[in-house]
Amino acid sequence: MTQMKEILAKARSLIRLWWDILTRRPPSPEQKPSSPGDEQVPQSSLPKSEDLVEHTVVTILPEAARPAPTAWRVLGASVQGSRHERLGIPCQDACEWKSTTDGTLVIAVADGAGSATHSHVGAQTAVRVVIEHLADFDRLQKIDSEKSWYALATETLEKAVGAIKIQARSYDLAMREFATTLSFVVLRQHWIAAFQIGDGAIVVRDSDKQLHTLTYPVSGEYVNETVFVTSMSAVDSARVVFRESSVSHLCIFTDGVQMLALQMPTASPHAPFFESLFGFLDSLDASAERLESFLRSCKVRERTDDDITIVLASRCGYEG
Amino acid sequence: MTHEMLEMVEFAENPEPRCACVLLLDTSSSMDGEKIHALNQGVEAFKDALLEDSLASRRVEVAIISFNSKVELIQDFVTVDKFDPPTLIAQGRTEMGAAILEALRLIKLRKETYKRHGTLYYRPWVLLITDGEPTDSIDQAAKDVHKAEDDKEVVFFAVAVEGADMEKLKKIAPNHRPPKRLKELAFQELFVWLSKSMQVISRSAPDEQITLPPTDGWSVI
Repeated sequence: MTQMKEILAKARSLIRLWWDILTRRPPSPEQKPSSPGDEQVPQSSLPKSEDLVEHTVVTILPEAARPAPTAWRVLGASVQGSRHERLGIPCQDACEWKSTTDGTLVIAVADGAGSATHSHVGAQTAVRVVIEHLADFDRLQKIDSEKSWYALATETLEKAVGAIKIQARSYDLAMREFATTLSFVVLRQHWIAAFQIGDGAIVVRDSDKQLHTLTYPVSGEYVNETVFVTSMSAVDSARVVFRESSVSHLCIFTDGVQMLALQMPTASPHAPFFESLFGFLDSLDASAERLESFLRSCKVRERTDDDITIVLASRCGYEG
Repeated sequence: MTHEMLEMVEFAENPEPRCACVLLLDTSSSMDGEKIHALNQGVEAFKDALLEDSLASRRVEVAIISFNSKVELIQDFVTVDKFDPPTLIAQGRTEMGAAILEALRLIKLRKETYKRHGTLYYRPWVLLITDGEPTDSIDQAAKDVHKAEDDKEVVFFAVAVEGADMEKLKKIAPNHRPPKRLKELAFQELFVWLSKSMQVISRSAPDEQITLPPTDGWSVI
């Protein structure tokens, strides 16, 4: 056992050396391997390459001498609604997520417009661009307020709309044929930020175990009307949220699930629905297949025949 | 108070979004005989067709306003699963103008109820069925229908049964949706079409272009 410790300590000092070379810092006395408990490196001085962080902290020293970056358990599924199945229309929902080794999780969900012929392409393009743009250490590092988040979120939206425009040109079709809603969320150690255009919603469970609706649907007077990224009013009607809080669980979903998940008019979360989903996510038998079969179940289908997307996330090591 | 509480229970028990449909039915004396009989059967068929669709029967709400010498709300809004079709009796004049205004007022009130309970809803429909010439002024009604259509407050359909004053109906109905003539006594077909249309609407997703089923089963081209 003592031998093991020695080996570990040696490994640690070697890593420290590589680290210092890579980050071009002179080795500082308080960071010598003899005091492994003090290896608290401030986040801002972390190297920018995600790979480096992974090698130094996660792979080699799992017991983490510095604060362990948050790891996330994420499950998501999009299923085609029964109406689209009948009519032979593809599932127009799309979702993507990425967690980086510095403990950041980015999730994007889009719901293509039923009336548009290529909305599934629009939805897929939008979520891909969002992930590419936001899963970026440098960009997120600058976010510390709603204002800075709004700037980054609208920039991300512009990128997504720009990519859809290019798609539209390549298909030689009007932009509206690619109409889609879009919502995305960034989770970091101490803050959460969300942006949403159109319907769908995000519900979180805070560390105080309370459920909160982070964003809720943007819609017109009638239930079959909403706003799309391609709409003129997209940015003006967007929901923007930045909160300094450490959420333990999150659920982001498209409007197909709304009837089951939110109590209107307050858009408050329907607790049994989320408690069971979060419980499922933290259980040993959680899998994307099981989530998908839940979404395909008769009970859910009875309430909606729209495409459905749910992405669930929970902080690992969270003591529920 | 009791009414409000019952209403609250109704929306709590059935939180589905609502698709309101007002049947505005001419029950003047000219409708007597075969016509009113066929109309009654048509309303029954409407209920039966929607009942087969569990989602639509919880989303579609029917109200019936009949008009003859007086305008009467004989069925306030009710979801199809709780709808008990009345037996209509034909007698008296054709107070159509007043009836149309009442239908628009009823819809406005219903939307307020939906909002109060946080219930989502689709754009409501008014289906006017008449075989006669209005005995009151239709000017205000025509104006209000056009405005309501322009403001996307309502979808207005006019159906003319044999003997109806087509000129006046054309004035009332929005220009982009002129009145249709009913083929003989094809009420059954008309109401089956209406139930299919309600099914399509009551499950339409945001911004979906709604394609209504063809009307050639009941309307004269």
